[in-house]
Amino acid sequence: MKMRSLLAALALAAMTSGCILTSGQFLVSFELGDVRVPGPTTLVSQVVDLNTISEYRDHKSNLKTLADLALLGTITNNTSNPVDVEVWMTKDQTSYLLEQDLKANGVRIWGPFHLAGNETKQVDWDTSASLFDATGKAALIGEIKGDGVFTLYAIGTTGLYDFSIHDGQFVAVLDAAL
Amino acid sequence: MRAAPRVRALVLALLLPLVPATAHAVDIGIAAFGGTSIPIVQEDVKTGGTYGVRVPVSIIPLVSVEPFFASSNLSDGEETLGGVTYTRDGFQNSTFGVNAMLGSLANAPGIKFYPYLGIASTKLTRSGSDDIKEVSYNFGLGAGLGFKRVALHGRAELNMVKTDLTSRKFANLTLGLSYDLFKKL
Repeated sequence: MKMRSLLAALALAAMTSGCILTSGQFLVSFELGDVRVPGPTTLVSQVVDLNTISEYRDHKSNLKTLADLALLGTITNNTSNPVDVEVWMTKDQTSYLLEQDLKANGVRIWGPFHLAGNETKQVDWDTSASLFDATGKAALIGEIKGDGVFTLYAIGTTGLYDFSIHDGQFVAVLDAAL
Repeated sequence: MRAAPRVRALVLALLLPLVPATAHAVDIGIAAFGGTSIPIVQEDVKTGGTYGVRVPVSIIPLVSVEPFFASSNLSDGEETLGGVTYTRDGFQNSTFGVNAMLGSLANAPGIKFYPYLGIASTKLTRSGSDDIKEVSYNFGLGAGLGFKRVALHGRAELNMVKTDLTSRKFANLTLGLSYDLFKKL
C-alpha cells in the first residue's frame, strides 16, 4: 500500500502546476526583409507586428514564455572598415534616425556580430541564439507576451558604418499551453 | 536548482524498498537499451536516437525499482525562411533517475507486461542556449520476454521535462536486453 501511495503521489506531482502536460513549443517567424543602414545618422526602423502571424495569434493567450529566439539573415559590410552589428529594440512603434535617440529610448537586444571589411556573412541560428543578452531578452519577452508590437533597429557599434541585411528574419519559439 | 532536494527525496523514497533486503527474495540485474526519442509538439527539434543502462532491482513481492541513465541525441530543427534553410541544434538529453513498477523485473521464462513511473534529473544541452536542468517524469508500459537469466524488453514511454510553467515532452520507444546478475529466492 505504501508503494501504491508513493506511485500515486509521483503521478500527482507530475500532473500539477497547471499546464505542464498540455503545452508545446511553437515556431513563429516574421520577415524583416532587406535593409541598408548607411550610418549612425540615417537609421532604418523595422516595425514588427507579430499579430499578423497566425501561429502567434493562435497561442498568444496561452503564452508562458519563449523557448528560443533568433535574428537570421545575411549581412554585408559595405565598407572596408570592420563593423560589429547590434540590434536594438524600442517597445513602441518609432522611427528614430539618430543613433543617440535610439540609445536613449531603446534597449540593446542582440549582438555584437562581427564583420571584417567588405565581408558578407550569414547569421546562423545557433550563433544568433547566443547573441541575445539577458536584459534585451527579458525586454523582448515582455513585448512578445504583451501587445506583440515593437520596433527593431540594426546599428554598428562604433564610428561610421554602412551595412546591408538581406532576407532578415525574426524567429521566436513560443512556449505555450495548448 | 529548486527541484534538486525534491528529486533526491523522491529517489530515496523509491529506493526505500531496498532497506529490508535480507528478509525477501532479491534479484538484481543489468540492462542496456536503445531506441528512438520523438519530440512531441516541439517545432524546433526533431527525432533522434536514445540509449542507456538500467539496473532493475526486485526485492519485495510485486514491486521493482530501476535506477537508470539515459542519453538522447535529438536531431536538428529545420526551418526554411526567405529561401534559406536554417538549422537549430537539437538537444543532447542526459537523464539520471529511477523507475518504479508494480511487478517483479526478475527474469523468468515467458512474457510479462508492466506499467511504470519514474522521476529523474534531466539536462538538456544545445548550442547557443543555456542548459536546461530540471526534473523529468516518465510514464510508460514495458513488455518483457524472458529466457531464464536473460530477457528482451520493449518499452513505450512518455518522458516529460518540466521547464518552469510548461514542459518538453518526448515519446521514447526502446528495445533492451537485461541480464540477472544476482538472484536469491
